[in-house]
Amino acid sequence: MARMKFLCDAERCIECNACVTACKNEHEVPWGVNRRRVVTINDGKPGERSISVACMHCSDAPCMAVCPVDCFYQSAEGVVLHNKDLCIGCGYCFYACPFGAPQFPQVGNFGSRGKMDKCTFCAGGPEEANSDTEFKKYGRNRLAEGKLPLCAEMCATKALLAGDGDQVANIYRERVVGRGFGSGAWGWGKAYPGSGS
Amino acid sequence: MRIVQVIGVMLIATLVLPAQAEIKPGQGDLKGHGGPVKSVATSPDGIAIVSGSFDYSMMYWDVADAAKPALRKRFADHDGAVNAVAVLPDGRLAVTGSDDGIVRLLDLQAGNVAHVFNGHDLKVVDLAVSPDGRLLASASWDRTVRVWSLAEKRLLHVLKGHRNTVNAVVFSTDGQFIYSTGTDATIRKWRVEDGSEERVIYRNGWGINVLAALPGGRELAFGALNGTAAVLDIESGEIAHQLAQRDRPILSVAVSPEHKVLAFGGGDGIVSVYDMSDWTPVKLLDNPYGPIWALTFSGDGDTLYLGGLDDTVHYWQFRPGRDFEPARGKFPRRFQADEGLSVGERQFARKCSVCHTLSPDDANRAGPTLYGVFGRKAGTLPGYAYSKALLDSDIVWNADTIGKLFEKGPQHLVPGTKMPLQKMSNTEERDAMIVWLKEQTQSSPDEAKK
Repeated sequence: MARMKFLCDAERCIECNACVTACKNEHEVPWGVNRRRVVTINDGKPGERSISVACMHCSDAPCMAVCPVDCFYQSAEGVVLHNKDLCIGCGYCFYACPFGAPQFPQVGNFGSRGKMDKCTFCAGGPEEANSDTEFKKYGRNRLAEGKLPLCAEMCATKALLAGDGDQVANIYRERVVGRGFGSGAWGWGKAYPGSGS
Repeated sequence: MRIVQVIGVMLIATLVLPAQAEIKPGQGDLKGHGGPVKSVATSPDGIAIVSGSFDYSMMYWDVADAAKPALRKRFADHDGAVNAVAVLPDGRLAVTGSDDGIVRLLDLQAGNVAHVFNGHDLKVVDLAVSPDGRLLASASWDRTVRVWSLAEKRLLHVLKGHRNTVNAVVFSTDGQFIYSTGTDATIRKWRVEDGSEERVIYRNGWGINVLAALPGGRELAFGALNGTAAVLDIESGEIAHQLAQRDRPILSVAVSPEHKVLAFGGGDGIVSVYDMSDWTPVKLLDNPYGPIWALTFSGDGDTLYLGGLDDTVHYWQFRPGRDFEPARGKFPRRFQADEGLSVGERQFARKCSVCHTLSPDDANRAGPTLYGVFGRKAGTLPGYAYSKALLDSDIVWNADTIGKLFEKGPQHLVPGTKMPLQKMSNTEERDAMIVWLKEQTQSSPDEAKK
């Protein structure tokens, strides 16, 4: 089975934020939560780069290792998902994630501490695929519909790639060879150690 | 003023701290919490440590003899994990900040709560006390910093400007300014006098988790989620010293102005100590046992107390360098390492055991022991600080009511309970857990299965 991965080519991202908007719209993400965002590093200085970031669905996910109530699981396709029924909102994953992926809504019942929300690679959650319950808790399950994440599909410059990790890596490799420079796949080695970076 | 304070602390430390004999591995550890340790702080005189934990409590430790640490008092007044602790300059009072959004002022000597500061809408994750001990600043996930008068016990200012959770706050060394940082990746400077924002002094791109004011007043140390550990020049807003670039987030920082050492702890378990006089690395601990949530230097400046996933605050002497040995027994903790268990036991081990034991001893965990829970009226176990909601409840725990607790969620069954909002929606797993729980709690439970 394919191992799903994200790759953001920092040489191509133009900070248009279409990926962010597509994600919010597709999943009807609540106010205060951005499952995907564009980070600018070295802002206004030489070497400025923009990177579209969300959960990278790491091979050895640090969020899973620190969750005290075992709310995370990894699908057969390598997508890191979580069960909001089990999440107690402790925030351990928030601090452990090197991509800043876990988000906590600002609104909700005080005292509940909020349920963590994050990118699902458009793969829903533990509820029945494409059910109303799944959509309300986790957003659209595009993978169950045979589609890939909308953020990458919407990316005009194809800076953001999503899909079978081997195919994504091959596309990027061809790009680097074609343009003669590279190393813009920010976070790839961090999320998928041993896959080449 | 600051120099006088530092000299004073050094004199006190010299007079009070006994010469340390060699401490065996594990001997200086602080054992007593019932959950992961999220925060630690050292008293100004160096003879006490306070620690905050997932177990809803703050512990006050006497470490005058580091080889024989003694628990002086356990404060279990919060309704959520204790994320932040600090000791006031006089050493008699301490403050705690919690998941429940409340800040408490604690009298360490009297052993009681001196005041409760209400106001934050979400969890409090960091606290800072002004150098003169008169003001307190609290950082919260509600995107604000609140400044409180400790003397008048009232709110002075609400600092608004951060566009995401505020993760850390510090006072300038002269007490005139507050610096705050958070997930919006900015470090902001605020005037204490009127609570107004002076300016954003730095933008990191990636969220910043921890912040420390360095002696001299011209620099800040910060650690970020992208693994950057650096020293920032406040005036220019430029990085003065890039100390580390890791693969995992920086989660904790400690500074000892008296001994000119700075330490960072990370999600990768690495602790690195730097000499602030020339920024050379002093020692690096590559701890394979998980994240370092909390760090503080001992009074002599040669040792660090570390908090992480374990229930223990670990003592690690880095100067002269000593090997680090984790506590033996059930720890180091692995939340996922429970292979070979039945479905019911697995559910309990992974979803409940971090807060509950099955033995008569509750092991200071966040929730009451479940020993003999079947047939017990809710809120009646002596010695546990129940919420009012549970004290007023008529529920008797049995397979039916425990089933409903996890089918609908604690907040639905007992609105106002301090039990986290957690459901087990998988009927098969829930039922298996209840059957297993009944067996374990009714038939002479094995003490080992805490």
